[in-house]
Amino acid sequence: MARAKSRGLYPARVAYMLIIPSLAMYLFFSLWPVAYSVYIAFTDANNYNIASEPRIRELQAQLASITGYLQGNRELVLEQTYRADAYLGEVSGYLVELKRMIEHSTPETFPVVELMQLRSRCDDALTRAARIVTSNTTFLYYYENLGDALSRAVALIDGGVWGDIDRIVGFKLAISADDLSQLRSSTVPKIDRALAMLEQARSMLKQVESDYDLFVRAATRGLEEEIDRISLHVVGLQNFKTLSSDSRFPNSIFKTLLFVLTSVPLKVTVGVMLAFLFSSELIYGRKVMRALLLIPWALPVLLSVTTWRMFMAPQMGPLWAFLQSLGLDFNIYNKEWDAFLAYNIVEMWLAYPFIMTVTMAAISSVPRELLESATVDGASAWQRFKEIMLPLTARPILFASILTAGASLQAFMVPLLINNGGPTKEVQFLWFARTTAGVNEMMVLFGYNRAYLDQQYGLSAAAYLVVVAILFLYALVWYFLIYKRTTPGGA
Amino acid sequence: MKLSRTTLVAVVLVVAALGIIGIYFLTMPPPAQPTPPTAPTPPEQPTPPTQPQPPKPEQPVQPPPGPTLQTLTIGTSTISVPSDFYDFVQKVKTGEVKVTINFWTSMSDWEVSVMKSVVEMFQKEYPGVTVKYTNVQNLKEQVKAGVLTGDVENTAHVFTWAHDWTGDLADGGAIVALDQYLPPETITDLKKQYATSAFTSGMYKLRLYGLPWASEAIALVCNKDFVPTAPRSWSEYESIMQQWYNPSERKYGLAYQIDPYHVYPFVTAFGGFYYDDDTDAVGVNSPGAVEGLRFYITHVMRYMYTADTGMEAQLKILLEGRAPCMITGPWNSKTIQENIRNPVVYAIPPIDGKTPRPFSGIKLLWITSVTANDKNRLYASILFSLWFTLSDDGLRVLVDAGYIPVKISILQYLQANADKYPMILGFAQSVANSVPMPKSAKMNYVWGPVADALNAIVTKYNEEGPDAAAGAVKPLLDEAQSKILTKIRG
Repeated sequence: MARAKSRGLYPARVAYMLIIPSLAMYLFFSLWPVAYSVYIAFTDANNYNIASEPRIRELQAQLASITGYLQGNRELVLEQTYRADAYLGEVSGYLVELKRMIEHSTPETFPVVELMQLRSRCDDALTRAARIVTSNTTFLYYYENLGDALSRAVALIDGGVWGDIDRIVGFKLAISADDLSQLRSSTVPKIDRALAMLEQARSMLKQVESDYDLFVRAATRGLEEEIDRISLHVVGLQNFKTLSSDSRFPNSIFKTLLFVLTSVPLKVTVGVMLAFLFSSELIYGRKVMRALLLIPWALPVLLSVTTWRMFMAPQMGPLWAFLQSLGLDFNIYNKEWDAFLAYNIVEMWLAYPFIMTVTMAAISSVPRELLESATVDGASAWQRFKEIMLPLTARPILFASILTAGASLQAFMVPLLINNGGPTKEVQFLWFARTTAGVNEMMVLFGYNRAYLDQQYGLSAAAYLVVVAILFLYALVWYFLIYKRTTPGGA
Repeated sequence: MKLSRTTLVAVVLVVAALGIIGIYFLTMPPPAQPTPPTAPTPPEQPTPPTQPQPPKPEQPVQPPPGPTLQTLTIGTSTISVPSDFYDFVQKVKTGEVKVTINFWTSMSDWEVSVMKSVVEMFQKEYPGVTVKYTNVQNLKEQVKAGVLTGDVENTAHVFTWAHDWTGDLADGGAIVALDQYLPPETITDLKKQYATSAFTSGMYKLRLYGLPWASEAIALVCNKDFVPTAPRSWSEYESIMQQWYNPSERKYGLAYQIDPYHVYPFVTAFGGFYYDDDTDAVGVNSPGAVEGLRFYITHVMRYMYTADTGMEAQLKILLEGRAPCMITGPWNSKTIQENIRNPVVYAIPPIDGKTPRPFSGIKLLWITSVTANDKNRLYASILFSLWFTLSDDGLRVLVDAGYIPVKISILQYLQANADKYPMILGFAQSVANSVPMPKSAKMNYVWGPVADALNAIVTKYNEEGPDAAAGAVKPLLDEAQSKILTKIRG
């Protein structure tokens, strides 16, 4: 009876109405991004193929219509090809004239004004030729490597020939013998090379003129190659192979684990010690001091780590100067273990307030009666600490340690801001190939640097997949140690 | 019994949900941005302007195609432009046509205020165009995301950065080529206005994507009290360094940030290079690069403070007068002028008659492809780009603020007023000797490995001294070269 009633109050479809949107939201906000980043880990994603859809769509549209267009407009395309050929011929003519001008005149007879006119005519013809080649009425750019050849020729003429003339002749109205000899020695060879490139481009235009059908087939291929170049490809396990091909990533995993092993005991010891210290009623003004000790927690990490770096930086930092006066040459930029020590200190400084707070809460929950009765029974202070306080606070401290170890495992801001995982040295880790790498590049930082320095998003995603696997393993280990076995630390 | 039915319903539900998601994934366009949380319907895309519209057979490219040309004057420059563009300019000048464009930069505070004043000058001249100026973080990501979603109102229409982004942006279809809208005559006229190297830095694959307005290259920035005249050769400067170098008093011969960009002059002086756009070659371990870095270790690093080769520490050495000079770029001009009474800039002196050529970056204005479907916006963006890079008044404001100009008339003005601009002229000379940074997207693969090799050389130098470091140059560069090649091959 009661069952039926409750069914009337909450019909099943209400439940479904609530579940379906939340399920959809979950899939959309959690699973989709996760699935996407896992997918990226198996691709060759980089900066020029990750967001190239507009260009790909444009090229695909061209590809779709190119064959029909080229076949239908044979006359028009050929006519333009002839014209491009003629313009390039003109350019060659001007360059030959320029060469003659440089080789056969003396500083007195060097015609600066004529040179400028020649240059302007040459540029004009070159611009027109380039216009025809890149135009979407010819599609010549993608024929063989005509586009490449012509852009190299243009780059050489602009950057090399005119660049030299700008530098040597500049705004002068007359030139010196020295200028002329410079022109002869450096510019003339460039003119010769440019002429050869133009010749190459022209011979390709001639191929189009002589065999139009071949051009139609080749143009499609050129476009397809271009589309392929800027598309994302699935590369399977290639990224993981790359990660294990040298010592860099294995070393960074090793350094991260080492960092967990050193920083966690440090953080926990300092945090617990401070907690016990400031829980003692013997200390006057402990509430104020306790509040002050929590400051590192409240400051933005970016600010505090940068301050620490300045504090320790060679030549600048007061801590550096102090250590120097003690005869210690402490250098966070050059010395592998100095930097590692610096990470530990900063990480400790950032994390002890957390441990301290948790521990203090645990301490305050220990019943006073227990301690008092122990005192009455004749337990010494050390015995009270060892037999009562420690067992009763062990569990919260253990939890805090697990959490903070997770933070160390994901160390990122600290190494990034202190010295970006440096110093850089040759690294050889176990059997992995020798390589040059930042020796303290923690694994999360490794992924970040691959994405933002090298712009290899695929490789970076693969590295993060490995990081996630390690974190998962870590979580699993704790799960079995704490929940599956009988709880440690008394209770 | 009841329980198993509930389970069954739950299982069916989950399967159905997964199915929906699966179908959704399958119907999605190729990997889109992971971020947009709204239903990613294929973003409304401006129809690509180069797309061959039903081609008209009688569409000639030349001689003078349809539009007749008119002469437009901006500053001291006259350029011929298509008459419909000319009409548009006249209309915005009188305010008859009103259009709003977004102009984005990613700059430091003092630059932002300079930009604002220049934008104001433009608006006074063309009241019809309202320029909404925004200084953004992550400029490239924001522009690319805006183009992908096709959001015309909230995306940059014009934006500026150094030219080495050109390849990347053009390959991704984020920017438009100006020659789609301007005839060859205009392009040739424009080419005459700027220093050639600056103009060509806006070209990619034979097309003109951006117009240049400023340049930067590193040079020898000195305290004139210590180095009154330009050193004629590196050995002359080396003798100055020898006199200064005294690490026990924390005095050094030169302040110098060590990274692939900053050491490049010494690589090029010996004929080395990292990556060559023209031949598509990687030359990180080329003989010139190896020799150049060896020279660098024995003739430059020896007089430096190498325990911290970052920018802050090195700049501090110069500012505190603990080194006579620093090799750095115009971006530090302001700080240096504020801290040193008499700064002066010289081109990096030649090494045994060989010219060290630093990398140069050319600041370009680009127009995003979201404007392609809105003719007024597109024309306003083109006009803004033309004015910004050509107006002598606007450019003079930029020069006074410390930018190194690339327009020829302004360069001539600088030479005529050499005493007024001791720093800018020096940097301009350095730009004249420079090599523009490669535009190819492949350059992204070069920086990382070369930086690693350099850092390893510095570490070696600090640990084992100059001889060991010089010995390590070749193997380290070989390794960097092979890493880069593997990355490029993919």
